[in-house]
Amino acid sequence: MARVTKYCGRIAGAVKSTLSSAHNGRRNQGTICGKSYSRICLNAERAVKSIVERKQNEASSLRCDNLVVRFGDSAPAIDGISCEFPAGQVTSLVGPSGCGKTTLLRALAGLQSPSFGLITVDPSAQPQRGEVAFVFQQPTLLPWRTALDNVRLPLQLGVDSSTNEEATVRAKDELRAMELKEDAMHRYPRELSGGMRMRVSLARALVTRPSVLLLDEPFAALDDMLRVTLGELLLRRWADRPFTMVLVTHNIGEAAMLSHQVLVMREGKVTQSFDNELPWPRDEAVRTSAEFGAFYRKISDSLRGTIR
Amino acid sequence: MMSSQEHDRRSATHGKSLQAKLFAFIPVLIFTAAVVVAWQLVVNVFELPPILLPSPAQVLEAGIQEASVLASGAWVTGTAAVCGFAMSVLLGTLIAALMSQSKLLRLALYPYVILLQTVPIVAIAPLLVIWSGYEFRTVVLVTLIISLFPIINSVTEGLMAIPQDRIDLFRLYGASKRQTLWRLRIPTAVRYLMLGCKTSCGLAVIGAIVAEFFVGNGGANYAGLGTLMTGWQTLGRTAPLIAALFTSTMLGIAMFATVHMLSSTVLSRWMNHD
Repeated sequence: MARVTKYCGRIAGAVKSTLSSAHNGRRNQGTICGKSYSRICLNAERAVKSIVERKQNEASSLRCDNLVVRFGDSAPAIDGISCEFPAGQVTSLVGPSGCGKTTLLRALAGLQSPSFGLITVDPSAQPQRGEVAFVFQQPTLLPWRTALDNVRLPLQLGVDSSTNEEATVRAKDELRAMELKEDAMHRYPRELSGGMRMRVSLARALVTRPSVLLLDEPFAALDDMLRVTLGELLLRRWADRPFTMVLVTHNIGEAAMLSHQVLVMREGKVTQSFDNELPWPRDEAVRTSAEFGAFYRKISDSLRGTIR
Repeated sequence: MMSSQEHDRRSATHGKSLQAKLFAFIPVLIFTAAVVVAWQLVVNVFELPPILLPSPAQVLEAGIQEASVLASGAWVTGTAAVCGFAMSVLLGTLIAALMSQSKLLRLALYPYVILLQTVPIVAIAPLLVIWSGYEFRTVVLVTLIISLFPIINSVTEGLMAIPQDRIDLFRLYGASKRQTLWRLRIPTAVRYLMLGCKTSCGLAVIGAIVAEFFVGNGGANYAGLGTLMTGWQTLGRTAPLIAALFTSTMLGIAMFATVHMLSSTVLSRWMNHD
């Protein structure tokens, strides 16, 4: 099993932290460390490119080894997390506010560089642009673009070699899959409701056919009915072409319905991990079953433990 | 399946009908009529001499009499104001772009930007006349200086105030600096630029007229509204002076209306951020 660092910056981050901790935190060593680390970074990138050729659109598993993220001198937001997000499976992260769920997700997306530790990917390679998609808590649509143009954006940024027409067709397909009506595609975000905007946001994340989809409480602002609907739509897309999904949520029911694995976090650590044995497809029958209730209780008990 | 959150919101954001828009003018017209009547009454009751306060009819008459002079004056002043304003938009955007790129530049330039705002224009104008002469270009220069600050200020703010998650979105897809500038920063800044323009275009007319007060004194062959005003003031012709005042106000309104129309038509896509 080949496991190579996902982002070279990450090795670099780890090397840098190791070096600076060796220097016992003396800040003026930073430039030297910085130089050596950028060289390591380049070499690693080349090595990765030469060794591995990656199959496109294949689900990748993610793995964190002893991951630490620290902001300034305060207590680390992520405090030595080691965990695995299996390929093509859905993992939910639950935990009280401020436990580091979002920070972990941002680190997985490459939006936050770790202070220490590694994030690895398998099958191993430098991820292509658009291979890791992120759904923000807010829909984060550009207000001067129509729904369709918002979905086309990642493709226009040159994530892959699709032409303009292809991009339009793909964006429309994705929006249709999210059950957005044809006439709404040509409207601006301000003319859409909160639910429609989130559909557009999901379509934009999926349009690049990512192998990893990271979601940061995407449905937090929506009512329960809509939450269930969008969760089902998302699972349908996932069933079409399984990608690795990591879902940060406050909603235990959502975590139980959507995922294969639930990780409970507390103060920057993963305190418990549950395998979700509920049968697929996850329909109304599952939601009302005794097993669902039991699993729900297991998670909520664990969460209660974290709050105490 | 459609829930309460998902109903169509388009109707709520649709523009008002033409009839409703015309209706909005009625209170303004009534108020204007009341002011004109009050003005006429004041003149009649206190038997004011026309040199102090001419009646509305006299002002109108002077306006018609001097129509061609006023029109050419408005043309000259308007051209200067538009030139200075356009230059301030270009220069201001450029300076704002520079200032948004580096904190060092921001620290170095900002005191001077504030200087632009705080130094009284009537104090600089005579100095500029000495340096640049009794010329059209001096008027443009004064206009540029007075209308620059709002542009710099608001465009800098626009370029800096990009929501973090939008920046993250572009980072996530590995967007280049150029892509981020063209597809994110500039579109975000358009709204701020237009806000700056709305403040600036009114100032531009003021700047042009103030500059003309000084340029006109040189007896040069220059006849903007400001020059005409100082001339009529010296001659004690209050009626055309007031007519010129109205003309310059209309010039300012025309510029504001143009900017407003641009932002609500061609640029409307970039104006409404939720």
